[in-house]
Amino acid sequence: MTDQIAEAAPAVVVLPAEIDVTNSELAFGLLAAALAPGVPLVIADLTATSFCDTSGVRALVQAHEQAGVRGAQLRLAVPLGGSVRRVLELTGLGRVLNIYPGLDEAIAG
Amino acid sequence: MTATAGDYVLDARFRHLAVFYETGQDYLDQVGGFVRRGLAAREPVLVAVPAARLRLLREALDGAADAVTFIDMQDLGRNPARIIPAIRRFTDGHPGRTWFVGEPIWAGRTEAETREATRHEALINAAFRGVPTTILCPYDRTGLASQTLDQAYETHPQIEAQGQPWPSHAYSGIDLALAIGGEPQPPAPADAAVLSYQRGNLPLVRRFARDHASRAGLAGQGLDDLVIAVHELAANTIAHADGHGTLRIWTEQERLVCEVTDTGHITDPLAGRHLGSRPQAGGHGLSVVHQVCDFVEVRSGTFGTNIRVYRDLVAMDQAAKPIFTG
Repeated sequence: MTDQIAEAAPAVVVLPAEIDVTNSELAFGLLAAALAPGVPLVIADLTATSFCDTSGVRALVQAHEQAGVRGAQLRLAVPLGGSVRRVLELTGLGRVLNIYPGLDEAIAG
Repeated sequence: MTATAGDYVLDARFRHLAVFYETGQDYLDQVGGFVRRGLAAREPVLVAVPAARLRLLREALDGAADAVTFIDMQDLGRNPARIIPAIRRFTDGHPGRTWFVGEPIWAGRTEAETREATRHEALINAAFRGVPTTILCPYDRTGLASQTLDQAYETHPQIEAQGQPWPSHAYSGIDLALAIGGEPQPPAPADAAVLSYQRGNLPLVRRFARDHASRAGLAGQGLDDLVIAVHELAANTIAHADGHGTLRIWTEQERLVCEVTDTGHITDPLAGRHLGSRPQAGGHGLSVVHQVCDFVEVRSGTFGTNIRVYRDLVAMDQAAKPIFTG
């Protein structure tokens, strides 16, 4: 299964620089659209995202659940130490998501 | 008919008792006795009391102390709104009966802190309904104001005396919490920095908070945390009120104060205190605010909603600890 994911090209979705209640639905929409049939792996690229609030984190969790339903996997690339990591930690929702410190790490799995 | 000890059980599963103590020995007899009963029943015991009392209990319990989980209440209960989620994590982690000693009010707490801690005491009655746990709250009869002691009779369905539960005839459920939460705040200082915001202005709210907090001396994660908290409050205005709000920021007594006012009405008295071990439940915004702020006052009623969050400007290198660890 891991080999299959590695061989198929992952869909990388670059998320906005700031995600909050005004665009979290958009963020979910981008990820949901990338989770097309036959796509086993979607990577949410938050390496250029400096802020993500609790509604943004909920959107990521929704996309994660959507991926599960479709038999795919969602991985997040979130640099260590920033405000986005902090909100993932404070909501406790980081624990249910697949989080990697960079894009390369997320692709490698 | 006169009620007799032990026969007055409002909720066979959940019990919430106040106990009044005078001396250290009294504390060890009554609170230590409670802990020993929990240990004798081979049930999990969590003790969250001020540091000095904690040391006293730990020493007196000797070897038995290893089976007890201790938390410094001056740390956990600095913002009293963090206590219910912490107990919740303990009760959720132990499906059987649990025992909890919580002392959120101690001599020397400010009036504002005592008010929020009293609100917390009342809210326990709603938060743990039906949960198989026994909660004992020690009150320092010699050190606390008489009004505070009187209020303990209102916030606790039972009073413990000589190791037995007695009914509290002044018990009023969560009424005190509702009264405290519905009381408008005195106005903010006239020289506070003011920003009126609406939907679409959230980046401006974050920049405004960051600028003022950084000028007040916050930096690093402490600064990020403050921005997160203010943003979540303003985002609630966008999501739940008519979309217009006012942010005020000022400093007082080495604290940074941020106040968000809007026309919304928070109807859930436990808002922001639900999160325990079930992070998927909603209401993350206020929960995050409570975790990263040293002190929070939520007021909501016909006047709208007014929330003040406080960050200490001393010892600000200490980042707030998140609820979820490990």
